[in-house]
Amino acid sequence: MLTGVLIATSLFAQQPSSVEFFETRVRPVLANNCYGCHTNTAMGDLRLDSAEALRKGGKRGSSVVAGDPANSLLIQAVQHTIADLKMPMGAKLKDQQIADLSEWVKAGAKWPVEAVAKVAVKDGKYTILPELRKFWSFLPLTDPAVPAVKEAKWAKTPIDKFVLAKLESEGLKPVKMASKRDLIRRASLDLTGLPPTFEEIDAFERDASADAFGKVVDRLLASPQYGERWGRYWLDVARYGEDDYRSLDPMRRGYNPYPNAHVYRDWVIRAMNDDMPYDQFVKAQLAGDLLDPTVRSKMLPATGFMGLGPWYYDNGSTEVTRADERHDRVDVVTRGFLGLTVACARCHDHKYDPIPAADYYALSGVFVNTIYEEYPMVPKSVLADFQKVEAQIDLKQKMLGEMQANFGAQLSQSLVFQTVNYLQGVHEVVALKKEIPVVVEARRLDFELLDRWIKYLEKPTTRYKYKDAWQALMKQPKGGTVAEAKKLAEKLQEDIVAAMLAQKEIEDENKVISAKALDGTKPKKRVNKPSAFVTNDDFCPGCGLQLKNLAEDQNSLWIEIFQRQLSDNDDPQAMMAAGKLNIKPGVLAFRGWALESRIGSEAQAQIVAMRKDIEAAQKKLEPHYPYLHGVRDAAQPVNLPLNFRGDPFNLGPEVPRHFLSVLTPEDPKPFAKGSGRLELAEAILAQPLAMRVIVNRIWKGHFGSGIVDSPSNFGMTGERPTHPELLEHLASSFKRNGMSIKKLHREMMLSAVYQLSTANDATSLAKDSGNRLYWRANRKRLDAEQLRDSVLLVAGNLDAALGGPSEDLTPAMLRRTVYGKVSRYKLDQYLQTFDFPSPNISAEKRFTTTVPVQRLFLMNSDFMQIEGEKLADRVAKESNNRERIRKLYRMIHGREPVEAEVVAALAYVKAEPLREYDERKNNKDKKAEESKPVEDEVPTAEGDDDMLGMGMMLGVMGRRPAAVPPIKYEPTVWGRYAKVLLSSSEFQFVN
Amino acid sequence: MRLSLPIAACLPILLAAGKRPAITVQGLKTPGIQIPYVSLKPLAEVVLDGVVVGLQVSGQQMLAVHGTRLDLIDVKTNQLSDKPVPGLAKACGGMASGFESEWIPSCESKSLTRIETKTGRILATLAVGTGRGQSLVATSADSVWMLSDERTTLLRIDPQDNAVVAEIRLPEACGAIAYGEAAIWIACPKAGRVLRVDPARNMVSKTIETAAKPMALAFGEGSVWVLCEGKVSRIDPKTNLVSATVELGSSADVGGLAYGEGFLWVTMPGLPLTKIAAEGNKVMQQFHGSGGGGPIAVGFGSVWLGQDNKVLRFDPKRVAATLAEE
Repeated sequence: MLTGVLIATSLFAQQPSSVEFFETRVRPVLANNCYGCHTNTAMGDLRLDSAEALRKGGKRGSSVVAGDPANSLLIQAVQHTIADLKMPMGAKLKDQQIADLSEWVKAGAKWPVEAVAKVAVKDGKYTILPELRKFWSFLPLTDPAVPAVKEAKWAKTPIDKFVLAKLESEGLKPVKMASKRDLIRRASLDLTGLPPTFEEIDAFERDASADAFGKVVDRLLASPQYGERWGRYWLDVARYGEDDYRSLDPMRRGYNPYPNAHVYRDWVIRAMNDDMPYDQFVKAQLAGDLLDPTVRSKMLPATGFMGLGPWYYDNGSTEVTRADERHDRVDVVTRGFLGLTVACARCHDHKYDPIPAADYYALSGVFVNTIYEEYPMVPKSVLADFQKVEAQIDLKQKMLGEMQANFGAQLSQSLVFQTVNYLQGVHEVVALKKEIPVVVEARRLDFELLDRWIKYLEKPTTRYKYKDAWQALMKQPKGGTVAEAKKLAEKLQEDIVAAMLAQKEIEDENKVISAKALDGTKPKKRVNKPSAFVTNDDFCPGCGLQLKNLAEDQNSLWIEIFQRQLSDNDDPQAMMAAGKLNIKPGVLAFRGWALESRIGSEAQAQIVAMRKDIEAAQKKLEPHYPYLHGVRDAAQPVNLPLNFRGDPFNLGPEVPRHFLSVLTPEDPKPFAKGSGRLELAEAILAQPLAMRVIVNRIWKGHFGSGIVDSPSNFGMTGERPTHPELLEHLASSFKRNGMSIKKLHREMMLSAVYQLSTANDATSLAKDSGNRLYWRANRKRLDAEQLRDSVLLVAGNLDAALGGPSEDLTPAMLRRTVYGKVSRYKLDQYLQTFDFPSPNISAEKRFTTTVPVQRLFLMNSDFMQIEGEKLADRVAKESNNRERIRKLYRMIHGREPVEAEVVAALAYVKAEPLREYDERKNNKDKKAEESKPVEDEVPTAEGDDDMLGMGMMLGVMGRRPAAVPPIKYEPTVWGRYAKVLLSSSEFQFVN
Repeated sequence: MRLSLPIAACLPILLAAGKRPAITVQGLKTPGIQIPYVSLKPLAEVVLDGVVVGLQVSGQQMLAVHGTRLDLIDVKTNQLSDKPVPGLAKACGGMASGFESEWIPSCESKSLTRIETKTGRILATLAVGTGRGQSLVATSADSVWMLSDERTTLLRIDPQDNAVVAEIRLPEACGAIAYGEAAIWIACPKAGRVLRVDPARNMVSKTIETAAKPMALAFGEGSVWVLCEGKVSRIDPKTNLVSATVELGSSADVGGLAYGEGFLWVTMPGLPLTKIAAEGNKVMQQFHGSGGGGPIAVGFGSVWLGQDNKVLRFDPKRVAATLAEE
């Protein structure tokens, strides 16, 4: 029993002196508004995290006078009645929050002793005091006796008795049971994300057997669509994304997809469909690569949990970005599996939970040894063939590059010695005002090169003085004499030749320096994989070397002649190091076609031949062999040092890799096997907390609110369970049932409480407006996936194919939404609109927002229009309008329409064309556009970054991209009517 | 003609497939097609110790797998080799040759046994699970492919180290796999579809609707031939469409087919041998009678049928010369 420790929440009839009142109305306010400054930091010498601290107060004295809010500094501060003591800083609490604090102080400011966060530092060691280990979520699992209830007949399962006992203790009653139609629709959308068909509803309504609903639940659990629905729940927690942002990758402009991310997504779906025991599910994701060889191949895709990032490695200094990556891993693992916010301890000991920073680095150490790995999903022979061709292409490309560089160098070197001739040509054009073609012809010059020299010589620069004399000459009347110009031209040619020779000498020296710094015998190749970036040098091999340079002015001259044009404010060294090529070429620098057209036909043919050869070889690499994004252990695991204040440059003592101290009875033992991932997984699974967390997630999925409604935070600042004994019962039963999630679904869904209607009860509503005691079922709006999939299903357009690569969500994409691309770089706009969580961070729940664009989507989007027309097609052959209406109701709402609905529909289909005609007539500008069939163009997003993630919102956003296969539809009145039904609350909500 | 079929002959196969026999064997009514099976004399009859579950042409031998053993038939003498390979645990789901090995699923141990063709030595036993169907394993140029459960999971195995390198989830209860036309083809009776899997991507690249209950596959004349319930669907791998459907006159949901000697050969319970010409997609001959529905193979100028504990060898020329009774 958890008596005295478990703190049940009841949001009504709470006495201000009660624990419930403190935990729900006082502590959260203090934690969210005051603890930032008034716990360990103790600003103004004031702590607000214990009764003693409160009484002791700070510099101004005691903060609370029990029973006297008017004279309590805390209350005065939050009421802003003292001019220089207005708290919280820069804001004011809500009136209700201030009133709650006042009530609490008035009632004696009682602070529950068992919930006080106490840690002690003894001899420099963080010590967790025994009472902290008694926090409700850390305690051993219990299996409480099923309580006695007055209305025993109502209860179908033990779950009901736990819920009913609580209701009865609060003087509440459950509402009536849901209708069979509502129930099967709820169950179907809950388990599969799809509504039942008319026939399924009808069959269920006709089935009078006692286990009729059980049969429905079993059927739904057995369907492959179950995994697609519940796999997605987990993917929210796992912050599943299929790309990352890369700041330093110039070719992809930041967008870096993981092409085989779907392998992990499909594994999750499969695991759900196969009812993989939860312990295996956890182990596979944390350490699938370390499992027994007999199951390793099955579990390897699960390591995408970590292999798919997010990876930040090239978005800043390696030390910081790698630390950020580890932070993500600690966060997703501890919140995801344990419901603990361990990542908060990155910079300091956790403010509320007994988690020292050392524990953070103990776990972070596990992940520093967890290396990104791409596991081929083909035999070794296929891989070897691929790598052979790939290596050949690399070599050929290198050779081509060298060949082009050599031709370029030869060309520019030969042109250097024609400088005098060109400069004399420049003088004739600029000073003597001769026509360029005439000068080109007379001096046998290259037109473009002459033009480059003219522009180069005109451009002023402060970087060097080599062309100052020339520019001065040009400013003279008539640009000086021909002889003067020739003399200066000869001088400039000498300077350029000198710079060229000096640079050549330095390059030879630098080659020796680079070669000495090289490990092994081969130059390091840059590979754009997370595992390939360990040090900053990996971003630019060799760039960290101290290479020799020309003197600054000579170097600038050399760059402007042989490399590229400089602007006055750029640093030539840095630009060269970055290898930026997208710039204006130097005077004698020719690349691409400009080079090839000047090097003669033989050299040109050599380049073309090699290029063709490379292109042919590249075709052999398509498609890339399938592989999965996973992780492996580092060859030589290491421990991480503590990072003071989370700063990876401010290092403390080394921390052995181990599990969380608070969840280990004694000092945690260091992990001994590799990175320690498998030991970590086993330690997590040994925790009752892990069981509580997962059963609570499943419960929340069914009931809308969790028993603990902060599903990823079971710590001090998280919610307390509304039904602690029920949570214990579910967790125990889950464990007993082999950690079968499907059995857990069944257990929950066959309860009477799941089968309640959404009916209202004024008394219950007044006492428990949030329905946290489950006196009725919560009415839920379809989420992003349910909505899109349901529309496709009822329109008869849903492609039920399982798994495979993700596709852009567009009206043309007919697969389930779970197979749509999930981008961290730019999340799909439809998903965003309908509250899909950010894939950058583990999501514990989805929020339901109501914004106008949601309604605009339903009314205007091409997707809805197309599906509406599809429905219209399906009813077109019915014998009359009544039958069409009837069939639409059956397909969309799964029922027959009542007469009033038929009448309304008949009126609509009769009036709508005329209404539309009038609208068109009254709006000439619109008429032309609206009277013709709409021909839409659906984006593929590939190669069109602007359209990335916009597909489903076409028609709503007012943008029409060019390209891609057009979808044609002609708006009809029946299509519009179908859209009306699809937009109705009856379709959009689940009772 | 309507046959009420005593199907004791194929009962073990049916039971192995978990089916209760309820088959209507009508056969084709086209004049001159139907021939009593008893009229067809085999070239040879080789008796084994158990019910044949797989026949495979391999090198210079015909291999027959049954129960716990792989038998080698000398095609010159039609005699069993005196060096059978024991150690199989209830062989099932046919067999496949590749990588100098024979690959045989075993239902009891839920494993795939790799036997070195040259020596008969068991090289490996892979505990990968077994699906349900008549041909669970196939080989491509670089991989071994296996249907490993009834969900259905398709495994890709690297023959270099006998390791599973990929798992692909298919629709439920697919039961036959074959490699040909640069793809893996899988027949899924429950879904009524044939799947084309692209080995370059490990993905189902096409789902092709065939006649009902596709159950066995063969390749010939640039087509994929699919034995379905009482019909053969011919798929053009270029278009991935069914280009022809050949009626067989049976409702049997077990059987086999093989292509060779210029014809497609089909066996079903009650119709042990049906000969189909690829040109025109016509049934040329159909032998009715007891037996049929077991493994079938074409090789060494012969058609080979597994029937109960026997392997029957037929000369196609003799088949052609065996005419219908007037």
